[in-house]
Amino acid sequence: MDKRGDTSIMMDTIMHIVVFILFFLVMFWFVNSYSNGAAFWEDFYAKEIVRVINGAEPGMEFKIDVTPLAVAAFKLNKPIKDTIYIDNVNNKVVVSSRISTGTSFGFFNDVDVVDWSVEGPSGKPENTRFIFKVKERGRNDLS
Amino acid sequence: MIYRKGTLGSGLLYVIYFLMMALILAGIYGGLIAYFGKGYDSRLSESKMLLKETRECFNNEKFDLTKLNKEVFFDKCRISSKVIEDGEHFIYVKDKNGKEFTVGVTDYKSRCFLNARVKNKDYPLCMEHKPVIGTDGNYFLVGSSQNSRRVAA
Repeated sequence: MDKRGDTSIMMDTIMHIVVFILFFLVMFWFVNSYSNGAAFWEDFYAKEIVRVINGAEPGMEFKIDVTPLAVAAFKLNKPIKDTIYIDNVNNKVVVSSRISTGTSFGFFNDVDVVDWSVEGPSGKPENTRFIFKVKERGRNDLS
Repeated sequence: MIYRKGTLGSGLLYVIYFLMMALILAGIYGGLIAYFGKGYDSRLSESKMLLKETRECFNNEKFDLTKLNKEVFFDKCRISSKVIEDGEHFIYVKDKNGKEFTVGVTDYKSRCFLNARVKNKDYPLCMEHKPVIGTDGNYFLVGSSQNSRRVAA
């Protein structure tokens, strides 16, 4: 039987509060990851850049406006120049607007992407462009 | 064990409490998906591009399917074997004599036509090209189920 001053009532209340705080922390983290569209823009630009590379011929040079991605990275304190990385060994484009995590997507066109850089005119995220060149990959002579 | 009045009611309150939290979470998740969408599905556009590149290559190189091997195909067509053989791509070619050439996931030959392929991003979306009847053209079936991956960066 519950008695006046019984500690179980207080323990129940504390447990409720702890579970509620944990729940809202998880929710806050979840919503925050979506809030500025960081995950969405990473996915979008990884796929769009791959699409451009897949259709490219050696010798071509591209300039792609990546302002929304740069804005998302800027808000999350990620250096804008580190938002896009090309892995020519594994044929992957890695796009990251968050610290320590990013999105990768593979390109089937067997070319090397060289001289790539993410450049903004004034260090601000507005009008940021991803610039790269496509070069023929050295190949074996199979007949 | 001590049986107390109201124990059952108190237990039921916990169920309702967790149910409420689940409902709030589901609502927020649904709202986010409704606003931002489920992401950009590039499977079909990738298949289209891969079909175009493969057809152009076969037209230019005039491959004999009885002698063609994967290494020559990848080298002549400038297609990366690492990406095509990553378990998310498929290229199938059949000539007028019934000779076949396949690279990638061979099971995609049937998975390309499953009804679940549109909603389920683990299935491939494919493009096919049928030759005009009576001509020497090849039949092509190309598919991709590639999705972006979360990586450490």
